[in-house]
Amino acid sequence: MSSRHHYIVGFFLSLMITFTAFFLVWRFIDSNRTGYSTAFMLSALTILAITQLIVQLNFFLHLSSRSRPNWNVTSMAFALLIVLIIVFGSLWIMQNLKYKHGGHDMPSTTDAEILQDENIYR
Amino acid sequence: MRDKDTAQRVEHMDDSKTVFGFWVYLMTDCVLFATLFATFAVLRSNTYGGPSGQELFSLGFVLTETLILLTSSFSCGLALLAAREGNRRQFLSLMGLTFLLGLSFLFLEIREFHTLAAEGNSWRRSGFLSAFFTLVGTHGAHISAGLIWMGIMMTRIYKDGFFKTSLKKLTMLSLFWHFLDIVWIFIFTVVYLIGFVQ
Repeated sequence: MSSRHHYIVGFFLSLMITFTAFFLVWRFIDSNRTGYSTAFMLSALTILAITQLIVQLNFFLHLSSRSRPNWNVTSMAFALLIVLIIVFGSLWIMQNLKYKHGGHDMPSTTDAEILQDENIYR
Repeated sequence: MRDKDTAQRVEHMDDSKTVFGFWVYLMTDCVLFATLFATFAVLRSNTYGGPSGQELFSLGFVLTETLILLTSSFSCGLALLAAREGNRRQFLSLMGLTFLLGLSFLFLEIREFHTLAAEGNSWRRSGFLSAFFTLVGTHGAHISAGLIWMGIMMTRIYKDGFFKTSLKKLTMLSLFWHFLDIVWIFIFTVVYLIGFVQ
């Protein structure tokens, strides 16, 4: 039964990806955070999460471009656009607010730090 | 006069509009979770002198929750296949398994919340914890709704067998359940795993 096969493959792949992610973090903690760099960990975990998302969309939700026009995929692409705007927009704005005295326990920032952070060169 | 095949095709077409409508609802739910993720990302280091994620979370515990939910998503898919084939017994077993796994997940999560609150680390403790409880709690609320929905579907099908709109409703239920597992992928990655890395 190819449908069942679909679910089994999806389940197996998701398991592998999940174990990989947890294993990486476990190794990272074990090595007292010296094994990998934080940047590597963040990228790896992000890529693993997105990969598992695509696996589950494909194998569990049967989201592929089989029928055209595929309104499921279209509406999802739109939702994804809104999500990206909201998430990165919020992060950008809140990061920017750090430099104004908005919060009470905000560390004070020197001009030099702001210039360096925002990549402004004179 | 319509033969059985045509009737089934017509029903499937009618089904697909309703199912698409439900899919659009899921997309809006996605945006909802995105706002909660954004909030969490902004507030994750606002621990206000209190504990951070690293100090509170257990990797093994989260892995257990994740495997439980992932397996339940898998069994849910198989349950839908059984329903499509009209196999009532197989459907009830698989959906029952999905339900039990979902219930276990919820139980573990509520226990984690309780432990945190009992130690004084409730949502009132810090911005970080407010965002944590809101994000993970909203996911838990969705899981609870899914479990109730499952209970209703299983009860009716157990008593009266499959009915005309069973498949349409079960399709939407399994979309819902798969969606929740997908949201959980991002919760365990962003909240728990990255919590250990930063």
